[in-house]
Amino acid sequence: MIHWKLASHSLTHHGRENGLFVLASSVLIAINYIFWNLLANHSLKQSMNGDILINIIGIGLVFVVMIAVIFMFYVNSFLMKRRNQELGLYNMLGLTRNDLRIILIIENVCLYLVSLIIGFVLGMTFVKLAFLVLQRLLADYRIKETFSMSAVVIVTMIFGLTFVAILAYDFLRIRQIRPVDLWKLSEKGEQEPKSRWLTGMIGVILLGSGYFIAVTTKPNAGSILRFMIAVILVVMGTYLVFITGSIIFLKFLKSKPAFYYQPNHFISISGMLYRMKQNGAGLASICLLCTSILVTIIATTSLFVGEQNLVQLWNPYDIITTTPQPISQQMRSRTAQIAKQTDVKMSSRRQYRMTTPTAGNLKADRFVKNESSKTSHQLGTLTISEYNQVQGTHRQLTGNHLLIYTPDNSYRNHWITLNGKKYPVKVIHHFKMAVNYQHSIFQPVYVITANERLAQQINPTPWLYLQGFNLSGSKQNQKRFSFILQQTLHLQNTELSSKVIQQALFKSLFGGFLFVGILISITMSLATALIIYYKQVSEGIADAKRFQTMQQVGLSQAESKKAIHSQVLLVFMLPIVGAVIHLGFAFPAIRSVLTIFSMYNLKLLMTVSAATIALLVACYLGVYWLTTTVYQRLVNRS
Amino acid sequence: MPLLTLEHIRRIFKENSQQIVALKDISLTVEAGDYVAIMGESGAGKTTLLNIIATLDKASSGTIKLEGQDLNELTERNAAKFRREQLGFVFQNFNLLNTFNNRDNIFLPLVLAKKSHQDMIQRLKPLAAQLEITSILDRYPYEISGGQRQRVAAARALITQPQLLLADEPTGALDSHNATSLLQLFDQVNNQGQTILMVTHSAVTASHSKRTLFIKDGVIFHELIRGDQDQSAYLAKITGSLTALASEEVQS
Repeated sequence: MIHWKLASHSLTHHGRENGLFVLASSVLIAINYIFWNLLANHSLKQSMNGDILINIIGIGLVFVVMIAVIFMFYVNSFLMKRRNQELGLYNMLGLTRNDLRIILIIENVCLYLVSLIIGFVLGMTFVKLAFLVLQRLLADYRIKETFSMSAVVIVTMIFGLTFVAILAYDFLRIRQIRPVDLWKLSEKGEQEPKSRWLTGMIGVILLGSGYFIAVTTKPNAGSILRFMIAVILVVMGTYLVFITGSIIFLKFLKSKPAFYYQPNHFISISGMLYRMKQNGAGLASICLLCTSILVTIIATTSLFVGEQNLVQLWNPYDIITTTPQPISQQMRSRTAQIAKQTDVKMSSRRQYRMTTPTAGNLKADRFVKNESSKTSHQLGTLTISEYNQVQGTHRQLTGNHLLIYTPDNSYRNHWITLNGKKYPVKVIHHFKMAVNYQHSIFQPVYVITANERLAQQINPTPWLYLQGFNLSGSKQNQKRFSFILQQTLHLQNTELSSKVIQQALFKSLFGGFLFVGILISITMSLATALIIYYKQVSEGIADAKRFQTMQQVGLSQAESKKAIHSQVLLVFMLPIVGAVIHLGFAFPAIRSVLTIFSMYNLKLLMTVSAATIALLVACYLGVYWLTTTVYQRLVNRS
Repeated sequence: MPLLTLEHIRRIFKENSQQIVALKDISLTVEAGDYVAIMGESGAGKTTLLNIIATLDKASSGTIKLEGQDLNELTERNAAKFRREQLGFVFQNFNLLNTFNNRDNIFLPLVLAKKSHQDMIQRLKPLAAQLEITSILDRYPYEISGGQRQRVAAARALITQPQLLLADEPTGALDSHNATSLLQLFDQVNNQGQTILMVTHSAVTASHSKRTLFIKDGVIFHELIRGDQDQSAYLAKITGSLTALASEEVQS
């Protein structure tokens, strides 16, 4: 009976901490439920490109479960710090360790059950919203939300296991409780952190090399591993730099008497230095979470917003065929027949031939053939007469003069070396029928020559025959048209590209990315906000006595408010500034990854990034304001 | 004109619609250069009285003036300014901040008063020598002994050259050796003209003062003046008064 009493006392007495814990875990449970529910949904699986979507959701799920487990442990450590004192007191008053364990079990089971109930209520409410959003994003209204018992069971089990693990961890901690320590606690002062130049330097080096790799890596199949290495280096570097770098910086400030001996600086610098070691890790975590949120949102939003762009780029015409044999009269009449049959009208037909593109890399002044994991471009050639015919222009080319076209307009040189020979070259900015051959991850490069001989000399590959035309008619009919066309003409998947079909594919692919990105970002934002909150609360409790003494010695309340603001603001700005710097260095990488999806629109990416940063900073300041208020209440309460 | 004047000070705490009278009616004056000890049992109102003088608390009625300045009328901001400029504090548990080293702990009131760093150094030098803490200035409060801590706290109280030094059980957490040396220090600064007002329930500590006031149930019950007596005679009188106070309780 006494166990119940003590457990319920502890649960109600520390309502705010426990409330936050329940809030955090129930939101995590809700998000997990949404993911598992999506995964089990039949209408989603059977929708167009449903399996791709399910895969994306699966990847997102792994993230969310990981964040949930790590974060629950983190929050629990805060609860445990306070509990340790209480349990130590009970221990001293005569309760055995077993009694303490029973109290902990009761507390944790209560927290678990309440979180579970709230979590499922939230989850089942918001899964409806999630489906509405998903319908919108995918433009598919046949997707229907259903209740999933398996999702409930799985989530209950995942969190049940997490709670059991947390309990096991708490039990370990209990074994270390010694009532004697309770007395010492108030006496014992914390050591001033020592600045470790060596670790600081290592941190800077790790961070620098991570940045370097991120910036210098070109997008190709082999770059994933390099990016992973860059990420790991940046993560480790961030932790070391935040822990040691901030100490070195603060010590430097402290060594300047004219700066240090001013009321605001005096209080905040010494306060931060005092707990910088434990702070550094927390700030680094906040910084990394903010970075992840930024990268996730920017990448997924850019993809989603850029979808139109991409479809346009890959499909300058509604239908494009790319065949190794010339387009025969028979093929054309069959095509017209199918159009009639499926009730669509064809228009603005164009055709040309080019040499089959060769894989390689476009450098500043040359194109190097190369088919490996480092490949980033593919180069094809066509004659000026074909170009003029497609484009409707009357350009002239003589001798070995060339024209070059890349969708991202990145080539700037007046000369280009191809196959070991140097040619004078002019950059052109438009080509109506630039297609991405086989929809590969390589960026197309078009080189236009004066004649066929030169075209073959530069790129000695078989000719490829392309035709493109637009369609008018209902989407359904257009889909049927391309379907029947592919079957009748026996075209490979790579030989026919249909805009309507691709649009649907990208809608589900990028819509899925964005959806999962948003859910993951919400989870990470929640984690960040709570870390900040717990940090502020624990520091507020620790600082209360300090400020009380300073007020006795002559610090007014207005001045303590100012000091608190300058301290908290500095602590708060560090991670967000760090996150923006990280993003700056991740930017080329994001851009590279996006070029894999043929997105070369830098302006779009910049706009999305700026908007995302602004949004994040606004939310961040909101959390800052809220937690500072709590902090101030704690400090001024005495 | 006396340095500090209290007239009919009354302090009532309201708790759950119940009124608790901490100070009933206190009137006293302290001249510049005086050394006053206030004695009384726990709950007699000693700390409440000290808090009111320290502007940390306000009287419910009555007037309190330091050098003609009415302390009841100070705003929160001016009270803070007043504390750091006119008052010095020595607490039972030292109240040193572990986030600062000893030097910065002593500098704290000067920093709050926005004094120049040069000025701080100049003020600290003779004071540190007098208090014998020069060698521990760069260490932290948690690295030094209790006696040393109390001397650092005394330095923090004295460095502003306050009108009035307030001490709340200054020897409460010290062993007799450290207590004696702290009291000798108090004697010394008092001889140099420093006004001291301290709250204690140690008769030995009180015997260093020039005047001892006994508080009971929120009023000044009795007063002893040292005059030309030597310390042991004065101590005997204080102990006698305390015994009388206690036995009266037994009788009533």
